[in-house]
Amino acid sequence: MSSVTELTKREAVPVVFSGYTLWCESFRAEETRAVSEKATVDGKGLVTNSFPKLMKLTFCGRICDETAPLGFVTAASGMLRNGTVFAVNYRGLSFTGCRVQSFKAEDKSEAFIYAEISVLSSSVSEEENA
Amino acid sequence: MLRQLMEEAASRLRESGTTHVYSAFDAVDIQKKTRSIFTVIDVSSFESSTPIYSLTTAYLPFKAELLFRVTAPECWTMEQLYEYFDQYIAPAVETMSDMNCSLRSITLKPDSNINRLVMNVRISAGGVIKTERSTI
Repeated sequence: MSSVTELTKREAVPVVFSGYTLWCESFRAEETRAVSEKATVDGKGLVTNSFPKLMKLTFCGRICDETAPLGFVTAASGMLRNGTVFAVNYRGLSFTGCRVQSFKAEDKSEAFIYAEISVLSSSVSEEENA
Repeated sequence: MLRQLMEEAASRLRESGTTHVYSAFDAVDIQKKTRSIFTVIDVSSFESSTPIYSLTTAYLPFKAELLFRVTAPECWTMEQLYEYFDQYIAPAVETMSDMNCSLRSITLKPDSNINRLVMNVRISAGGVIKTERSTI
């Protein structure tokens, strides 16, 4: 029985939002199906309708921009208010039809800011040139 | 597994030009080590989480703290030891730096027993132990 011990190599992945590079250290994808249930006369449940909701993607990481330290805030706010539709690539996956749902940016007096951005995506596919 | 971990760290140090790298398991008497600068690699803490199994392999993720103890020759100054760190140790540490591994601290203190300066470089590291499964 052979055993190999090795250090893992994992670097933060750059994800670009409106010109600002978020060095993504944590990522989460959530997708749910909405189901409408109706009770029948015999007390059992019946699914009358269902549909898949948009996939929610949460990118969490740090942004370092020397010229505009908080430029990400205006950029993300602009995308959120205008309902901009864009595409995001992350680790070989391509998410299209994305809209910003929420974002958080935190400046903790360091050289970089902490940022978290949640987007709703309508479809996902393997990146073509990955 | 700890031996492999130390050996991997040692090979990174050797790649960046560090010579006389020993593992804490070598247990070579200091008199038999070189009179010049030498580095001893130790694992000061090790913690593993629950394993993940595939059909043929068991993956055991772990977090460890590696300790590089750089012992300077007699009469070396702090400045010389820091220069040595910059030239040889820092490039190796940089190649290891990512989201799992990073430099935690550097401390420098004289070892009165041998009358030499010792630099302790602490690195937190993460990795995985892959073990073949003999039975399915």
